Amino acid sequence: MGCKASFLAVTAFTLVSAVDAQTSTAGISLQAPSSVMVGNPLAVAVNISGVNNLFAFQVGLMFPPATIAAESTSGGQFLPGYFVPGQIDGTNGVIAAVAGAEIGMVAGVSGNGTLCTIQFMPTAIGSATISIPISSVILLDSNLNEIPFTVTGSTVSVTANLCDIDNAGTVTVTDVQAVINEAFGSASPSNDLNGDGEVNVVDVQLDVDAALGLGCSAAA
Amino acid sequence: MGWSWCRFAGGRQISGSHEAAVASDFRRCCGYLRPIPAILLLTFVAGLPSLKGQSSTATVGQPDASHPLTVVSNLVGSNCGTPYTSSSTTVYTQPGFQAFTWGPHYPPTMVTTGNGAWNPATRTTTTSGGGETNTETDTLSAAGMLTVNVNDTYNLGNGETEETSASGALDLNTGNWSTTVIVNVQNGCSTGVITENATAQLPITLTPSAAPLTMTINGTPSNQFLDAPQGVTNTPYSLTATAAGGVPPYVWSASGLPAGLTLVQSGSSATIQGTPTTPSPVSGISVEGEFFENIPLPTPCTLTVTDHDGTPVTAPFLMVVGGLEVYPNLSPADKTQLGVVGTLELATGVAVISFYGGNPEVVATCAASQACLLFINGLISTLLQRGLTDFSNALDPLDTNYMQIYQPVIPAPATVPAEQGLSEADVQSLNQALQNQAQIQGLSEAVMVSLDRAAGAQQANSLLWSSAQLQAGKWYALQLSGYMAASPGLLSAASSALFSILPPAVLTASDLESLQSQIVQSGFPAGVTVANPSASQSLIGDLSLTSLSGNLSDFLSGGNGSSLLGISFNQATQSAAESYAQFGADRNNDLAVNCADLGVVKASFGTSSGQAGFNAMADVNLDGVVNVLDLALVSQRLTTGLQCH
Repeated sequence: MGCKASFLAVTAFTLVSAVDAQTSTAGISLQAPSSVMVGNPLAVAVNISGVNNLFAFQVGLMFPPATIAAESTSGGQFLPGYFVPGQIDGTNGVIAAVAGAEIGMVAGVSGNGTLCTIQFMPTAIGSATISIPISSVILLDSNLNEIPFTVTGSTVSVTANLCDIDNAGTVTVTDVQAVINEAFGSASPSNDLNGDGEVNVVDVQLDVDAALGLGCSAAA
Repeated sequence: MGWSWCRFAGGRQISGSHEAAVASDFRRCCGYLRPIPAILLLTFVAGLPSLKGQSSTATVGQPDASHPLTVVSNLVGSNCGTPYTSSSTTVYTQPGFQAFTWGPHYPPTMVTTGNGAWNPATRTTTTSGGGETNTETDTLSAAGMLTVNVNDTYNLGNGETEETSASGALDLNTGNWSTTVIVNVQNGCSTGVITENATAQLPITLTPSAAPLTMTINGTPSNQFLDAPQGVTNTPYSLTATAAGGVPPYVWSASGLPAGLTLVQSGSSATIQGTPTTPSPVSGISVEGEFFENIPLPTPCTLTVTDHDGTPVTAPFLMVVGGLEVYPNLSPADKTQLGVVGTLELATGVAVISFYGGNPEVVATCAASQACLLFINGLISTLLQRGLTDFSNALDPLDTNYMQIYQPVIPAPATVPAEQGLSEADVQSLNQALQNQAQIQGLSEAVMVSLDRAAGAQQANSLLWSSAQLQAGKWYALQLSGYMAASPGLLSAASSALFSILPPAVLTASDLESLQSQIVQSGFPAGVTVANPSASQSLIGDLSLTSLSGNLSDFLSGGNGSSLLGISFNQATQSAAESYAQFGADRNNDLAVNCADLGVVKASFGTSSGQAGFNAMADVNLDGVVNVLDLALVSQRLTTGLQCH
């Protein structure tokens, strides 16, 4: 039983802000799955670590629009308060001015957590490097002084959709029928979507889900 | 109240009316019925609360096509055992009802045409005779509601009676009129009850009938009276105010008066009098420990007069008790000769330095006095060297309340050697720096005026004095700087101040015209203009001022060579500072700081000046970019725990 080739390729890269790194330097990084299939939603978390007294943040991202499409942004749990979703430029692959701030004369938050989450939709096979330009980041403490930081980007491999049996780009009833044929023995069982060693009704259901837009959640 | 009963009010049966028709029905049924009383409509005059600030009259019109009077009538009767019912609706769109008048002022006098005078508001009239007893109670409330209740019994003889009860209410504010009339007839074996409900919305016309209430203090209209003459401890003091217009009698009240002063009312006038016992508190601030100390802080006072209609006129003003002592290190001769005056104030918690233009005629004298020159040079040098870079260090004693607020956001202009004075570019740079400070401090607006020294001296003080009448509400920065191009031996003067004014909190051209008028009226030389940056340097000599301890008039009428002895324009309280910082976050100018202000920043977030969508109100720190710093500057001013989305 064969499978479509899927691979993991994660590349982390770190940049340091113009502010000299000090003991209180915070780290900003992206948390994303190493790979995702076309058509499956991709959530990328913008995390922060080692921060002290964070009152407000602003961050921007860059992404390859030919591979993934940005759909929305949402605030994280780490910094409660007011969230600005920013602007998504799907043509140039830029998400600008995503921000959040606490409300009131309160102390900032410290430690590690998620600042915000970006929802993407993979659209084509390839490698999707998501980065955070240093110039897009501002971290403010409760005295509204800037907090030094480093940033770490991420690369996500976008693989073919296993459920797209005919490689047509989308999962349709044709793909479902192909899996059915394999499950019933009328075709060679080459698409074991869940990787359990056989093509059966479970694989059929996975493809049906994919055809319905629920993503192909088959195991890689 | 002129409930126009036919029997004793002229006997009027409305021809062709619905009542007549119903009555006719009932006659056929019951054999007898007096005419049903007409539903009255009125034209009268009464004092209303609708025109605030003025006594007014209200004229209630007659029904017409646009204001129909609808009468719904129901008859339930019995003609010696034979049931009888009838109902109908009639709409009147023509005038023709009895009218009467109240006025001109209510309360206390209420006059009704043809019905005598009413006082107090409720009148009860009982009339009897000819077998009929009628009791009518009419009440006019202060809110403009006229209610009427009528009870009438008529002995028809032979045990036969007719009883009528009627009630109605007319809202003089809206013209809404409703009434119910019930007639109960016992006529032998015939009985009947007629119930009528009438509703209408009659036209109301409001007409001012008295001049607005006004107040003058010391002969000055209250809205121009900014500062009371200074009081001196243990010295008798008197300040008289007079009311006019409105509806007498007047009631006076005052607040904030310094200890020892009371308000005494006499008819249309009131006098603040007594002997001040306690000097005003002082700021206790100095620069480098030597320049400015013991500057009195004026006490905010209010004087209010209210007329009989309840319309108040309130005049806020400032009053200082006690003398001023500044420049303790200057000799009396230096003080007299000094043409440049500086004060360091605690304006809303922020240290503010004010300078007023010098006088070239005294420069020579001043130049001969090392103490005088050192004072001038040192003061301005302190401003430039420390005020724009680390101003908090110039405060003595240090106070964290002030240091935290003062955060320059652009580089200070280059230090100018004291002997050279400031260039115009320096002044502009100073203005820009101060404006940015005002913004980052959270001021709603910054009013920037750059003047030459001649006008600057006047305008600085005039505007600052003027600001005192504008009350709290929003905080503004006023900064004036003078460029002493013609006086290279004398350093440039600059002044700045923070003040609060009432919305619409913008100094308009008319404001400046008003200031100009004050200057002219105060006897200042012609040609001295407000907001005229090109005023002649030759006027500098005429601009030397006398003591600032008095009011604006005293200040403006000073002679040559007089010196200013300091003044404090603002009250320095922590609460004021907090308030001022708070309102700086009011980005939509709605006098509240809430989620909507965050929304203003959010709507332009990520934009830069010149870009589509950029909103200057969202750029809190005036750096040309709307970013997280602007967001934080607003969000910090919101109430902790507030949920904004």
